[in-house]
Amino acid sequence: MANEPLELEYKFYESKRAEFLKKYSGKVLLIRGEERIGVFDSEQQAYEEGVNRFGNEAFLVIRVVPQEKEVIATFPALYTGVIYATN
Amino acid sequence: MPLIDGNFRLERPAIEELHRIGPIVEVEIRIPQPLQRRLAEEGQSIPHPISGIAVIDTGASITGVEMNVLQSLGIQPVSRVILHTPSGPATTYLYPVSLILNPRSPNPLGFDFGAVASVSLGQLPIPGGQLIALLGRDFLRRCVLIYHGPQARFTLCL
Repeated sequence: MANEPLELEYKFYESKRAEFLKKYSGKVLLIRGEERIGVFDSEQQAYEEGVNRFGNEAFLVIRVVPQEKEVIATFPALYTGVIYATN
Repeated sequence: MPLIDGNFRLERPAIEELHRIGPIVEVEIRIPQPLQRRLAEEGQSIPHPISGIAVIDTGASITGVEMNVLQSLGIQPVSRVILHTPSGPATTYLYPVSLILNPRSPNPLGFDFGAVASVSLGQLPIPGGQLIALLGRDFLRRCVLIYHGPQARFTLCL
């Protein structure tokens, strides 16, 4: 049983990443559990299909890219704890 | 070239506030429209939008929303993202939301965000309300932001 949200879906995705990269590079996958539900051009399309099928339950929406091109987020102000400073 | 509404402007002439806090806007966070429609079709109640203040943060690569707000709305995450932090890489979840700018104005502007990062903003007292979002460069890529320091004003054009 997965403990973290989307843990099962990410394990499935990682196990199939090489195959997905060959078949669907640049596309967006909708994954639920250990099943690829669909392939889409945009995250919005994938999300809408996910909601149509599963309502407000967890499903993974992920763009198929090599690991080194995955999005990395930065929040410099948040990391330093300084949204604003007062005297 | 305006992308959505050429007449839309957000201007805050509060002289000291802009310098001290930065550009802020009133926002309302809602569950995404596809989910609103689905819940309505099923006759389920739709969570009330949550209002607060957002800081336009040119240092943030993506938009972040306070995690308690996302939990209150009951939205499920759709993916996760790696965060660079001083103590090393960390992971946070991404949530789909609808974000309304200037919700109390006659012409509020809505955006459907594919994914905002869940972040902890604490209980930061921002004039006019509670800080609930950092609008990052994924938001700014749709806009023109003019920060006029000497006049202590900013203009956001869409």
